[in-house]
Amino acid sequence: MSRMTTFLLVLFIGTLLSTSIYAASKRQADAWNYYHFDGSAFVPGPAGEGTAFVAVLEKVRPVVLTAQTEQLEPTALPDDSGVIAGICYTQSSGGKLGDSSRFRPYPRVPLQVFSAGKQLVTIQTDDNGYFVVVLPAGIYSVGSGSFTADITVERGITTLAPLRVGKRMVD
Amino acid sequence: MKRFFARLTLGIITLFQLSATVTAGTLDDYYLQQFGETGNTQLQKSVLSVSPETAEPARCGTPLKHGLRRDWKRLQSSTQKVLAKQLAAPTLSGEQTYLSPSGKFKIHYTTTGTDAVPSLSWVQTVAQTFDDVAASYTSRQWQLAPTAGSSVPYDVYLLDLAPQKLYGVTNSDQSASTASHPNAFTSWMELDNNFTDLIYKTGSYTSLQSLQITAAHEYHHAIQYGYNYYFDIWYAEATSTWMEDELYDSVNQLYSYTTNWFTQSTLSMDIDASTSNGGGYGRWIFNRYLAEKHGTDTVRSFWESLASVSSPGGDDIPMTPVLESVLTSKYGNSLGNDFFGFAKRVYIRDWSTHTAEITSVPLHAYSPVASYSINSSNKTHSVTLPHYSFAYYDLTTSGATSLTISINKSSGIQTALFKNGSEIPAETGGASYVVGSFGTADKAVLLIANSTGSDGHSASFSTNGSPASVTEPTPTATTPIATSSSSGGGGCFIATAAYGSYLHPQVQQLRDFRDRFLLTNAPGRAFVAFYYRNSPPLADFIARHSVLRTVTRLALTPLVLAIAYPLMTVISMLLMAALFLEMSRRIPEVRLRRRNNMP
Repeated sequence: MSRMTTFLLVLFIGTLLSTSIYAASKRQADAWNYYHFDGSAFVPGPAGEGTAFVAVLEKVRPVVLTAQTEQLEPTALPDDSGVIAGICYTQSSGGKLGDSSRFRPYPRVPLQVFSAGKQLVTIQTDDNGYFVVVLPAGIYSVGSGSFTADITVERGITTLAPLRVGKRMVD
Repeated sequence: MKRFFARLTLGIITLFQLSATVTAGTLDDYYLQQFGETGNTQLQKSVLSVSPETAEPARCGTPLKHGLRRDWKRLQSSTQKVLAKQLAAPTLSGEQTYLSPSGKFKIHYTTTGTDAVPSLSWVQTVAQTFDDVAASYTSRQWQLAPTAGSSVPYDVYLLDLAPQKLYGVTNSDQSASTASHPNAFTSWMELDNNFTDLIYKTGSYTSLQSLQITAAHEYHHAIQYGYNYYFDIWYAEATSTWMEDELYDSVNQLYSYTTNWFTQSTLSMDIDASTSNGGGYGRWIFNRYLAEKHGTDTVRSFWESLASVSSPGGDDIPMTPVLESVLTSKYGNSLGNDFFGFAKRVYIRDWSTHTAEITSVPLHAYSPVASYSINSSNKTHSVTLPHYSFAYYDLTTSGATSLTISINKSSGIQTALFKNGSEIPAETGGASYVVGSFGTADKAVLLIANSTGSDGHSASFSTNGSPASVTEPTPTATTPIATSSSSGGGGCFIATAAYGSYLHPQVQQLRDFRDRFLLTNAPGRAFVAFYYRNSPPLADFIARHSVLRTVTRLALTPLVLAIAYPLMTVISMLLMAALFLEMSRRIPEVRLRRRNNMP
């Protein structure tokens, strides 16, 4: 092998190695990811001060927070289980004298979880309208009254579900 | 002895269970009775009184609601479902109620604190106004808002909404599904307690006028919930605002909302409701055009047609297809033609109703997006318009004696030219207009409208005979909206399937790449459109097989890395290319040496 080839090969491997090290240093697999609800969907990042958001980590039960904390104690999910976490909210639209906020959390609302047409469990949203339910992998129907959503739960994964349970026409 | 203890334990458990059930039932029935939610269960029917409301059944609801909050977790889920609105509905300190003369409305008010009403006579005025509004809607054949029962009045809460800068709010409540209205919902309303604060006085409106238009507006939202909960917000506001003037013609506050539409007419008709751009509220004037052209029943026909439409997966139902369907099937027209006719009327102002307001309220005049002198050096102008939008251009001259405008346009564009207010017919083929006599005192106005439901239609016009070429719009790749019925979506179907969630950071990176680099140019958009058309079946297949998901994640890794670390990727690729070239050069040499047994 010529010197040139050796040089290029070493340089190539060196580049790949440094990229991998750099990527690994930024890897977030073992860090909590934050998501907040923006009125229509969950988006990455924590919400503003005092507003609830969800901290998510693979194979760990998600945590609903209202402020970022240094340390979150991870609670491992049971084998073959996943999580549905979400928010029940009332959509808020309009405003003649100024645009209104886009949603209102719906606290303390009971939600039924169905599997294969049978009611499995009833849960209730917290004071921020959020809910977390750990379930075996499968397909579930989650909702309140007329408002239900079909959600697939996968092992170790947290599925974020915004559930609209009402509308406010604001003028 | 052992058997005795076992039986005793079983007995105690059974007794405890029974007492818990009985207690729960009693508590549930107590709250259901107190909040007037008689419901339909056998137990409730046997326990509750069904005596009718008296004219002034004043009672204080505050301690009851506090008790409900305290005992919430002890109630059965079915009871919680029925009473959930009581926690959502406002809690007035020292609440009293007043039943309107017709019995259709129950006004909740207080005489103490910041929410206090000015007087009992104001409460009576509110009640009478709602009765008048309901009678007006009935005479116009609208179906009134459903309530929890045929004899149950509609709840209106009077609160101090001025600090929140609100006139009123109408909240959805419970399903009131019927065979003809499967998505009907009941609702309840909050209204400002007096309309005396300065924010309600910007147009010199009296408190009574503010009350009247707010009652007309908000109660129509209540009616809309009764037709179909999944209504499209922009058209709900357009209809409620239009109704303000139909019921209270002399107030005329609604004209102030049209200005921001006409100054931003290049935005689509069905954008979100906002007074800052005329969204929703300002669109009421399109209803007036339709009412003048086809009759005032037209607007009701849209809502009646909407009543039987199913929600697309829990989302609201887009209204423009409903308008298109009704205008076509019932009135022999199309939304495109009516939208273009409306856009022309914005300039011509040949309104046939409310004619006194056309001159006295000059807030719905057209607004040109640009003005050009046909002698300027830049004589070719182009515009691309989103669906159901329009643009006006003013054209003047400082020396020419005639005007010829040549136009290239894509299939969704309609145009019209006016000279001093009169429409000039297009030349054969519709690609040009000729104005024979055109002097410095004249003004021509060109209207370009996208009268279709597709974005990206464009036109180019020129006064020197050489407009720029235009192309038909590429089908837009619509990003699926994450809804309550779906945990996936959000674009990048294959990546979402591979990584398990559209919220996965790698999927987010791919979406960002799509939005920043692919959707900003024509080839990129074409690729995205192709991808969105063809990838869902493949994504479904991948999602069902864990091995395939792993393989796809591995296959996507170079792409994700390339997006995350573009510089390093370029360097790596250059090095690989150099290595490949060097190896290609070296291999024949080595083979030759081997063949010749050379060292």
